[in-house]
Amino acid sequence: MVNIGFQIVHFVITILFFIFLVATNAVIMVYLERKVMALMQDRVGPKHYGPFGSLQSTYDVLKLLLKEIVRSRETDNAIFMLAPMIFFAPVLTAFVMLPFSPFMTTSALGTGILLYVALSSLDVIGVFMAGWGSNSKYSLIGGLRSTAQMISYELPLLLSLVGVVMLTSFVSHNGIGSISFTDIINAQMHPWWLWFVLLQPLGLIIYYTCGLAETNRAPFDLPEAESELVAGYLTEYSGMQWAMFFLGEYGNMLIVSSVATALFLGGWSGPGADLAFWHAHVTANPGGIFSVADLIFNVIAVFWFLVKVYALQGIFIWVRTTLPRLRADQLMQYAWLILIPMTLLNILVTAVLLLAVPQPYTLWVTGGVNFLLLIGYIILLTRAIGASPKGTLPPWVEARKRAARTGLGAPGLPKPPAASLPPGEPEPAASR
Amino acid sequence: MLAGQIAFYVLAAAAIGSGIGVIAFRNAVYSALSLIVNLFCLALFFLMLNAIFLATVQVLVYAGAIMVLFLFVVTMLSPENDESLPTPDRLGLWQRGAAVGLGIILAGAIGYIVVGQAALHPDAVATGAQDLASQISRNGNTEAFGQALFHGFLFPFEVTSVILVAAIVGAVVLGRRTSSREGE
Amino acid sequence: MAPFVPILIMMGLAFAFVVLVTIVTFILGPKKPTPQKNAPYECGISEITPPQRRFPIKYLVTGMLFIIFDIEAASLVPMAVLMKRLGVTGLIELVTFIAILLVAFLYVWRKGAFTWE
Repeated sequence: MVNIGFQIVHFVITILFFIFLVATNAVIMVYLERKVMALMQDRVGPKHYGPFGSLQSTYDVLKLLLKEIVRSRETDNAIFMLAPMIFFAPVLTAFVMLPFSPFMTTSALGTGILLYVALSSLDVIGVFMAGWGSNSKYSLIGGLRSTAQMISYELPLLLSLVGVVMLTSFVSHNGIGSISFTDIINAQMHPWWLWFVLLQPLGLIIYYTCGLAETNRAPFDLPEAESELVAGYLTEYSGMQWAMFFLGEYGNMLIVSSVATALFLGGWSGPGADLAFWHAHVTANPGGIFSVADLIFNVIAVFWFLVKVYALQGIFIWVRTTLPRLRADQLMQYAWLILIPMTLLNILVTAVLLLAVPQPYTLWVTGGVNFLLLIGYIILLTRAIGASPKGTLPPWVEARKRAARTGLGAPGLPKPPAASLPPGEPEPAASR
Repeated sequence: MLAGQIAFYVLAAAAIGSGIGVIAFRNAVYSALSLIVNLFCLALFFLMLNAIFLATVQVLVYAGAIMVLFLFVVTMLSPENDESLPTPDRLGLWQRGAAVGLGIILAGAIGYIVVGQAALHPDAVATGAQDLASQISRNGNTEAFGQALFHGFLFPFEVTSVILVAAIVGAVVLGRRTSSREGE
Repeated sequence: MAPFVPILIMMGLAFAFVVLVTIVTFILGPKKPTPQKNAPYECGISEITPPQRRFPIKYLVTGMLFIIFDIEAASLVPMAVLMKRLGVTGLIELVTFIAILLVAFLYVWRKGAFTWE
């Protein structure tokens, strides 16, 4: 029944769906972001074009198309022109292995997770090329910072997914797990709602944090810290070339959310999208559309997948309005000193529990302990950030102490003897 | 399998072209970027052989990680701005001699493989590489790779981690020495 | 269909898309270059010295560490796939592997490679 003609039609439909999704997602997310941020900050946001200003970002796209491409005379032309392509191509390619429903997937590549991480590491090269090719100081510094940040957060990103892979191995009947997204989604339907977020909540939180950093979103938007670096590696780009980076970034957000959905939130499972329920109506090959029941089933599946994806993307916006930007060195230390040890601990604990706890309780204990680990992680985080108001002093007292320590002496204040300072005074805004 | 052959020749041309680019470009960053293209072509060759896992890791480790380090090093040294570093027209006699010697060894190795039809090493056959080849056509050969790694080649695998530790120590020592020199 | 075909097609489409959009905006957009407009961005003043394009060294060690831990993470994945099969032996292998690398991690930490700025 599955002939080559059907394969080609299937492939074309799927690819068009993905391209449509990437393009509309950027438009929708730009609008949503402005509107939701405005609501959260007690402003109105876009309101002039379309109902509730909903056509604003569409007009923005048209405006960008009509803009002049400005190129600084010192740019390295070849690299400058190639950079948007190198940045955008992996983003679009990453959709190849994402299953939005049993039908809406191109090829169930066996190495889904690794391929995703590999493609996101190609993005780094695009960012580097943009920064270096622009040949402007802000672009250079932005590109460098962004490169270092993206490679640092790629490690915990991959390590946080290892726990999920272990679970697939444990749940499977023959002890062989999988790193393909389709297989992992199927594994989460094994007893009906075994979403891996229930067993690996820490994994999801760390993965999502790294996703924020990989997409250069707040609070990790240092490369684009406009107060320091103008626009980072995007400084010299204009018009549609700039928009390509923008599209790539929003595509990246979509991918991060989709991967989190597929690996932790059960993919397209949800009320009405259970394959067993449709089993009588759906044809033997769940990846095809041969009947009305197939069609309805796939529509419901895509619906649930997109609901989860947009819920996660909403959290992107929420986080952006809530958290302040990190400092450059804190950002790197957060990746290397907190996230990587935490993910390694998670892997070890998960492995030990899965093998040691006897059968009927295994998943319960694993999930419970992982929730405890999550609480521990949050406590560690509050300690590490040191954001508690406890023990902080008024600014003028701090200034006086600092002046005493450096020996400069604040104006108008007598210099206190060094011995009168309390011993072991903590550094203000300590980074660990 | 005509399409496969066409894909192979196109890829081979791209790989050789980018390989020539690596040595032909005067600008070191261009060379590094050509090397990325070259490594990516190599990953596609792996894909064509159905070695999906290897192809993915090739992109992940070489085109992603190692090339980022190359770019860091190249931009840090920026050879075109630095008079003290050797450029092709400033190479010493021994460097030319070494290049010729290494080239002869490489040509010999390639000739040996092409002419002699080199087979798998007996150790590899004993520890399941044949088994691996039979499983390779299956969708997703990660588990085949894992089987070979954790059953057949366990000791080399653990030794790898020791080598990685040595690499880390080396990286830190070299990095610190260079940075203290930069700081002067 | 061979597994690499969709990857190549998607990559090709992405490149074609970017090229197409660039061409369209080249045709539609105005082209009025002025010396001021084409100067590299410098907060409104004219550039005094061109950028050196030399990156500082402090991220070099980060890059090296990244390679090493990347290899570690990539080899943990096949291990995790076979978790149940390998059983306790696999666990011991995993612990050994992570422990050896943890030594390196602690060494690097003590040497201060994780202090930027």
